Amino acid sequence: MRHHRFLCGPLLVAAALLTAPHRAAAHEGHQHAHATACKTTALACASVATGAFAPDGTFWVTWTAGGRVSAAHSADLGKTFAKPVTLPAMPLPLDDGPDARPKIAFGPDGRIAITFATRDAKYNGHAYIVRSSDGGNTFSTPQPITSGSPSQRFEAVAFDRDGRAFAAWIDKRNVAAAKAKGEPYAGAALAFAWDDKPGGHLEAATIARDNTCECCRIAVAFAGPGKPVVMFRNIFDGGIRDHAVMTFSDDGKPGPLYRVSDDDAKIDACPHQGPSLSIGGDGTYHATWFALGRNLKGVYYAHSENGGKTFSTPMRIGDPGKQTSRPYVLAAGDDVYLAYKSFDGSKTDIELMTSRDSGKTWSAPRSVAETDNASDHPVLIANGKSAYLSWMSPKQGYKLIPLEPQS
Amino acid sequence: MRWSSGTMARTRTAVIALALSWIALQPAYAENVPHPFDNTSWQALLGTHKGRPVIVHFWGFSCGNCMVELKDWGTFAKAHPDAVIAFVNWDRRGADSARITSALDKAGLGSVQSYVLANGFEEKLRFAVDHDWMGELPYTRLIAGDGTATTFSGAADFTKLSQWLDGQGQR
Repeated sequence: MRHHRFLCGPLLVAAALLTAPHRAAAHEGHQHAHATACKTTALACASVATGAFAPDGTFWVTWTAGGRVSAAHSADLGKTFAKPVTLPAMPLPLDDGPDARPKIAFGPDGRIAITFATRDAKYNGHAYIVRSSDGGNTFSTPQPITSGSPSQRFEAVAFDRDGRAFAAWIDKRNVAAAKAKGEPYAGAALAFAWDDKPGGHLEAATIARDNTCECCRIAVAFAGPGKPVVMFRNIFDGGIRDHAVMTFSDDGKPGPLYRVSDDDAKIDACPHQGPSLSIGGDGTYHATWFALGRNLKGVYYAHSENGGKTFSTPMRIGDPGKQTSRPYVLAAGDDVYLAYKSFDGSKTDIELMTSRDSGKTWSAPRSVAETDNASDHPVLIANGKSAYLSWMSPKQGYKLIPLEPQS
Repeated sequence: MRWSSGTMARTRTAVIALALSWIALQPAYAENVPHPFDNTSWQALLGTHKGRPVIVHFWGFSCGNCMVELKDWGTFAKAHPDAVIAFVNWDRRGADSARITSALDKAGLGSVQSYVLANGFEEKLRFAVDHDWMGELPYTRLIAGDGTATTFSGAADFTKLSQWLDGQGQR
């Protein structure tokens, strides 16, 4: 061994000199990329954070930082937080795709569900649910949201009024089955599961729709007790990736699929931008989405007054020259709020529009937050009739900003 | 342990030959280590090849459509060895460099210029590439010799790409 070191030492130096520029460039990039990154599980280190209000008005936020999912609650609208709960480390890294984030949902009787996904090297997702039945004093260990599926991503969970959780996600079990048979299969599938009883466990998954877009978040809202509505990017005949809604019937089964808009998105690309859906007290569906079609391209809003069968003419949102993106809609009280990102070449604004007539007319947009660095997507959340912007930027930290309707 | 001078010489020759072979292989491998794509990269990329047609392809492991057509890009690159082709991995929050290198090599894209999105202000980096690019993948930008840009999102039409290169006076 000694002679090996003696002979090879100088040659390795020479080799290192020859390859040094490449290695140095890669190393500098790595250092630059992580120069300001923080590594702990603290909220201040989060890359994505999702806020939500419990029925008693307690504010909660769940976030991803330091490779873990954490959650904490606040009795003073985010000024101070109780000691965070950090979920166990998972076997695979957390899903860090552009539309992935941990989420938190609340049911009656102190029931809470936190959901998140991990991913493997091929971006196959593995979605988990963590529950509390005592208002967040204790949480279960993470449980897989389903079994028998090679991939689940973009899980969305909401509680029905009776206390049962409804979960929907993008699933690849039928993709794998088709591949095994040597058959083609476009995209993935929309899957769902209900709790077997209030406070129980998710039942076996059902595929609601084959051939949906595989790389965008989905949106879930309740149109009434037992009637969840899912909005997602469907793959229509001819490979058209336009948005659709599906309202579940009283027996908990998926109803007909209705197209939200004829974007005519004939494209085999991952937009990485899923839709947002909120349903007002008057039953109006409010939908916003990113279109990448031959008819429509950009961010749009539309509403439906007949349970999603038809939608209003899509309204273009934002300035086309400012990379309008990541729209989010919320119906709270008698008002509708719509927030989105806007980038002018140097800074990102979170712009807000509001409607006082159920989406028929809208205020001019105004900026409610800004940053000159990276930031999370805007999320709108309600505490009763009050609306808030939940937003994370690593430079400024987490923000919970109260919103006012504008005339 | 003592070594005879003959054994030492033979061993030294063999090891030197092996080491030189290894060194000779290094530049080809090292060129494919992705460089971080930061706020100077886009202009630097265009400036380096000013006057020549450049194909810049943005892709990601998070994009199934990107991975499906990676081999087709490899075939295209092989058929156009003189074309300037750059691949920019646009997975947010950083993809693993070794994995990028491996995936490109496997697809026959070992010789393309490889970049990886640096962590940071993604919107600003994207805006610098194209004000209208909304982050969808795959996304391809063709820069003609006179600086004219053509873009398309989604799967590439390689016949059209070849025609574009031909139109630029390059095969």
